[in-house]
Amino acid sequence: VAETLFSYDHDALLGQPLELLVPSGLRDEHEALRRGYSDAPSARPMGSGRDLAGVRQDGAEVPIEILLSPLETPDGPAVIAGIVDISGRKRSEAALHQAIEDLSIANLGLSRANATIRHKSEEVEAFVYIVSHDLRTPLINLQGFSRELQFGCAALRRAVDAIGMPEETLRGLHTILDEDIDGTLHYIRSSATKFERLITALLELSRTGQFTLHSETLDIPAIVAATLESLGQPIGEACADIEVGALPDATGDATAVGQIFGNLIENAVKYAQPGRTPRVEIGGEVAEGMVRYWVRDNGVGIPESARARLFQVFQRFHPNMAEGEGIGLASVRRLVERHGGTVWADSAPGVGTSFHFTLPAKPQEPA
Amino acid sequence: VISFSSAGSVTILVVDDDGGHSELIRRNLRRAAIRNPVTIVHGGQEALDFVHRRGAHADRADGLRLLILLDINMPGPVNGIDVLRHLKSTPATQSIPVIMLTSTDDPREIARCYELGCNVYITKPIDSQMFVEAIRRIGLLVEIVRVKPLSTEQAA
Repeated sequence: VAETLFSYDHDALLGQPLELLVPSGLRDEHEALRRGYSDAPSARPMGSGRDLAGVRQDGAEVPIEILLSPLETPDGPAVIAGIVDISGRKRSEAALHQAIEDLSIANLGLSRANATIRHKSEEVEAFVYIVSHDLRTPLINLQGFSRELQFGCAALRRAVDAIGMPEETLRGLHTILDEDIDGTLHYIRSSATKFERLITALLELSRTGQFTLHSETLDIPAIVAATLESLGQPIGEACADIEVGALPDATGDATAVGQIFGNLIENAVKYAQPGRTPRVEIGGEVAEGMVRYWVRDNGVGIPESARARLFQVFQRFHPNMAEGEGIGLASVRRLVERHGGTVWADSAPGVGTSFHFTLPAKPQEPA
Repeated sequence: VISFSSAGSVTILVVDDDGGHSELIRRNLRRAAIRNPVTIVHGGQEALDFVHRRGAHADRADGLRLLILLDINMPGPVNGIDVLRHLKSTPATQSIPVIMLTSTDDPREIARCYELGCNVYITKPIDSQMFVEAIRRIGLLVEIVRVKPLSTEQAA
């Protein structure tokens, strides 16, 4: 065995001192230690606590482990040395260390990438904020002066009526005033209003990413009750049937969580299946350190094709059913993710939709 | 209750960098039947010059009582917030009533105005009703000369 391990021929080893197999720098020390062992022999690993190596015939060192056992023979005391080549294990260990090091480098890269993404998204938010803010200045003029024109138009109409012109001339003037001017103004003003709603929506969305969240233990039943109260009018108008189940407490920002429930419940009521009493079930359960809440409705559902874009900004899937700019679910995702949770939906068109989102169940350690 | 007093008792100073906005304000004041003198300036520095009678406004009439309509968001070294901070921290000017004008109802902007001691703001585009309501809130209605009250406001 020793021949294979140290790649010597059997004959080449016979009669050689043991130190032939010891790295040259350690031979004297080994000899001394060997004598010490003969004085007090016991069964033990050799050189415990240090990495041992043997020298092959070609001079290469092999990492080894040696177990020593004293043995009485008819020729006097002897020692059996069990030698194991551990180069395989050493290679695995080295590979493991390398893997750990690679992993920590990858982690560092990942956290740098995360920081970059966070930075970029803050930049985008600031940009959206500034742009939507600055866009309002010309818009206000567009709205204000088209209203001025409308006032002017009304005054002109009164003046024209007061003059007492021939019927036909008067009709001609009214056509100019009502169609050419007022009708045109109508389109300008409704576009300006649409423009304003989009800008306001953008501003609101940029705010959901900017305001500071205060983390505290939340009384979810109270938050849901307050949300339902503030939605009293739409719920009443839809004659919706609201059922609130058990709602475990969670950790998060009370205002933000109220907004999340508010958006989801309002959607559930707004997008009701015509001819069916809207039913909304609200509930929650603890699962793996998080609480999963759901808002389930029996409404029109979400078309399969829309699922991928469901939480994107300015997406509307039933634009004729209700007013809105398509930012509600984008805000919900934003707020849930800022809490470290996730949000998803399952839906069957014509049957209903369930929105689920998670929030941390216990107070989070400060970051 | 609408009271009347002598014209010119309060001068309305409109501070807005956008010419269109200040023109809209002027027209809406007229539509609200407010006949007080209106002065329009286009920046924070000019507003402070007017208030302190210096620079281009060194020879404006002395002893004017002012009501300031102040745009929060103005470009340049002295923005609306700076003007408000200056007015409220200077003993001679801290009692001048100020109505802030915002182009958004951004809660942060409004919070900043409140912190600086201004609790009346109007969100643009301003209309005559909003302006009358803001005047009512700062308790200045009796000082504002309204020659032809609108019927809707008489009911209010």
